[in-house]
Amino acid sequence: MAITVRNGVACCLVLARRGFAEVTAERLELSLEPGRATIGAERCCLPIAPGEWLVLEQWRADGGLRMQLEGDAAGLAYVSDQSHGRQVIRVAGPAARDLLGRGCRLDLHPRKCRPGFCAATSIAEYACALVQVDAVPSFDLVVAAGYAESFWLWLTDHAAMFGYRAAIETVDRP
Amino acid sequence: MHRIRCPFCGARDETEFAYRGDATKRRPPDDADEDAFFDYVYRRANPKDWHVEWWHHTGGCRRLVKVVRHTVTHEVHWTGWPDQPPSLPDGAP
Repeated sequence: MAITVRNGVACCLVLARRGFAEVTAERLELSLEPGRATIGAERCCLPIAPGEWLVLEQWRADGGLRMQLEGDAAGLAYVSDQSHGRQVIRVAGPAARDLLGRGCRLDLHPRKCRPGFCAATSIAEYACALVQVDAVPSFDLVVAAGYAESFWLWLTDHAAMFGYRAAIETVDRP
Repeated sequence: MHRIRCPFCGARDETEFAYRGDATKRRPPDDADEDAFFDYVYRRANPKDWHVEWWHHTGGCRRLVKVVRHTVTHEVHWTGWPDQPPSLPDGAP
């Protein structure tokens, strides 16, 4: 199992104005179905509340994703850049479900939890947005940056019994 | 332990929610007298029966959920959004 600190990810919160959730979803190609993320080659969008989405994308420039989303959803939604406020950690490997199952109260069995499955939930009391990105299975976990270190310690503590490889993804920031 | 069905997230564990009290209380008009506000802020029924109440889905979508729960059996009969009229079981007061 690989547990990776994903530093090269830009993260934005999109909040549709009241009554504009459908049109925002259509404009930005977001999913309106709770628990179902849209995963593209570059971008991953999680519906985390009614009219509210978390958008993850490969980091390119500071504020780049926010400006792009603001332009695309002008007049429909508010966008707030969370790239420095959240931390994405990826857990990948056959034992990933067992590891998350030690702190997550959701049903992560493959019959319910397939690629694209997402949820805003608590894992071991850490507020966390979770998305399954592929069939390995790999999960991206988005936590508040201030809790990331503590959450990392929880993850690696509980992953010890399965065996894991820790990695830190680096990104060149100008 | 309760399982509460959030209208957005689906059935979730009670630990994700924060209890926020009686959902039937309505704020009196601004010019109402002190008694009306005392009532609104402090007086609560303590029924041994069905209870309409707020639960905040703190650990999930962070929305308020209206819940009809039995205070003795803890059975959750209905959940919905704040603007929805609650559905009470037959025979409930």
